[in-house]
Amino acid sequence: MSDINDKKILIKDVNVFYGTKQALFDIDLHILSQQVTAFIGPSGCGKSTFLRCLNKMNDMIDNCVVKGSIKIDNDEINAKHVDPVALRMKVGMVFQKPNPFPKSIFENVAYGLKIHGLCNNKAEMEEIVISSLEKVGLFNEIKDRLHDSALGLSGGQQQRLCIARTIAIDPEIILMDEPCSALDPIATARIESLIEELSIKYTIVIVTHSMQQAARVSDNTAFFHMGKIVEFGKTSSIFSNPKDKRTEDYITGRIG
Amino acid sequence: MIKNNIAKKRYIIEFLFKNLGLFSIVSTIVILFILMFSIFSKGYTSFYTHYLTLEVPLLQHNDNANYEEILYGSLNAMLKKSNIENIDKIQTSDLLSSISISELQNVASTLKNKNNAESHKIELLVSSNVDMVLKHYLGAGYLLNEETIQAIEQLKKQGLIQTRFNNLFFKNSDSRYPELAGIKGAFLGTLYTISLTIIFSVIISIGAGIYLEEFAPKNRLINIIEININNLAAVPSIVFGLLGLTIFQHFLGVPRATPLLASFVLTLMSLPTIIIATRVALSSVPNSIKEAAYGMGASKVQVVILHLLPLSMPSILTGIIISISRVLGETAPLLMIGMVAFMNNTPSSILSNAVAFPVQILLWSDSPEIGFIEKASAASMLLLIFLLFVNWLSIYLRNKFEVKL
Ligand SMILES: Nc1ncnc2c1ncn2[C@@H]1O[C@H](COP(=O)(O)OP(=O)(O)OP(=O)(O)O)[C@@H](O)[C@H]1O
Ligand SMILES: [Mg+2]
Repeated sequence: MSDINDKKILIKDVNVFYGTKQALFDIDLHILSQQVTAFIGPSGCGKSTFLRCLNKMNDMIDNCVVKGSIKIDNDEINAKHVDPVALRMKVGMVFQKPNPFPKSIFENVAYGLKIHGLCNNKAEMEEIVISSLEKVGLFNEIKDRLHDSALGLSGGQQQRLCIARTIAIDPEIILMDEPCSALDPIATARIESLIEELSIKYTIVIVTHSMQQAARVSDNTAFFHMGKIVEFGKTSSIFSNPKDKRTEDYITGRIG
Repeated sequence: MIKNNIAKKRYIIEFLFKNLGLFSIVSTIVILFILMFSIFSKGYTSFYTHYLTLEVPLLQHNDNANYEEILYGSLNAMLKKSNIENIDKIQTSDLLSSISISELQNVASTLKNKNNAESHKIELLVSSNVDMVLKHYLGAGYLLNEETIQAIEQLKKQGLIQTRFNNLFFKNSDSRYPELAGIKGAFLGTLYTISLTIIFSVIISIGAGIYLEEFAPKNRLINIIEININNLAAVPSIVFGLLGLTIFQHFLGVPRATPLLASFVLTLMSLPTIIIATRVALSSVPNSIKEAAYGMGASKVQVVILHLLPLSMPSILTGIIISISRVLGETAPLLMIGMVAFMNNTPSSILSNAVAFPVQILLWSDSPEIGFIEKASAASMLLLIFLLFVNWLSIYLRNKFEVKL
């Protein structure tokens, strides 16, 4: 396994524009391997925009232009020739609102395996689906309705299903955009402990509005403000000892 | 006090609003009902017709036999036997259908080897005029003279004229004689045309819709194309006929008056509607599903095939069916490409000359014989029933393919 201080993602001079409007300014950052990195900051400061740069989801938006260098394992991803499909197999994403497909629970988890042709036979697929569901702690809850619609699950279950769907294709990095904002405290707690478990194997980047959540789950924190990174460092030092006035104001609830 | 007044005002407005809506619906239904009733009451008689039972003496095949003589001889004998008055004033040559003589000949040839047949009872189709008189069809009183009409009624009472299901109406194509005219040719013409139209227009317009919605770059050229597609939906259908005439027939040499040429023209007509329906349907697929799929590393083609098409299929199908049922009743562009000629043969392929159903209705309703007017109403009836079926199908398919989100 890699060194704990391995830089999984290296971001240099990233600028993002929506048409003529610039959303991110000169972002320099690194994401450490097998750690949880949290992005915090007031609404509209560009956290989601930045997160979506990491798996080229911004390509989907017509007028969005990403400039600069983003290297994952030393491979430049912010270039025209990079295949987004291969990249997204390596960098999975979980969205703010749980968005399972209108299919069965099984089909949802098997989705990535199917579209990428990762399984040779049904038994193998079943095995991966079940183990993914077990990893997110969902299997025991729903084992007798694997073939029912995923839309019948509760919000928290749906979000864990989306995580299971993502880890089924065994990515290296998981991006989460406010994964708990649509969930109640109990479901949130489950996801948070899941994030901790997953960080043993995966590199996780999470956007959150909750300071407590960032403090609880993350190893490193980046504070965004108006399209810039104001402060980046170990979560413990950012929360206990913020260097920038704006970070302090935000953490203590004076702006945001 | 003030509150009460405001509430009262609101109730009155609500009452008016509700009843205005009710009035619109009721009047629409009444108009529709009147339309249906007038078509059905004029058309349903086409589904039966009358046959005259005639006793033909010594029907033996003989190359020299004069069947016309035999026919009228036995007809006169029959009239005498049934005690009909004023036989000399009866228009005997107008009683039977024009194919009666050859019918007689046919029967005779089948009896060739059976010498035991001394006399023979056969049923012969009556002429359209007699049929109309028996059906008391509007205006039928002037078709024949009074004596003949009385004679016909009397024969009917005596059971010599019988009512039968009119299978000729379904078995035959158009004819110069109303009693022999049928819809098979027009039905097949329309069937070929519409099948081809569905195939062409569905493939082209779903493809175009997907491209414009999912793949097209957002530039000026695409904008212009989009605007033009929307404009195309409003172009009068006769213009499409002209286009078909000049481009497909004259320039590309597609044979005139064939289902193939007609389907090209109708495809052009139905394209804009289906393209617009496809785009609206695709754009109404929730973004979260697209994001989920792309986030899982699905390719564009996979997103389209696995998610967008299945989810938008109900709306696309509705668009297709609306568009197809519109072109199904279309006549004007077909007139431009020559599908308006009298055609008494049944089209055997997409390259044989044919008429379409609505054109057949037009041709029949244009002719002076009352018999054809009846046929036109019956054909309209069938077209209406078919359209109702198609609309039901669209609702059925929409419900069947609907995915709950
Ligand atoms: N598709 C888009 N087109 C144009 N501008 C956009 C688009 N998406 C985001 N923006 C703009 O970019 C800026 C950053 O948006 P972003 O969604 O990244 O903020 P955020 O930090 O995730 O906010 P929140 O915490 O509310 O989710 C905002 O000013 C937003 O208005
Ligand atoms: Mg956001």
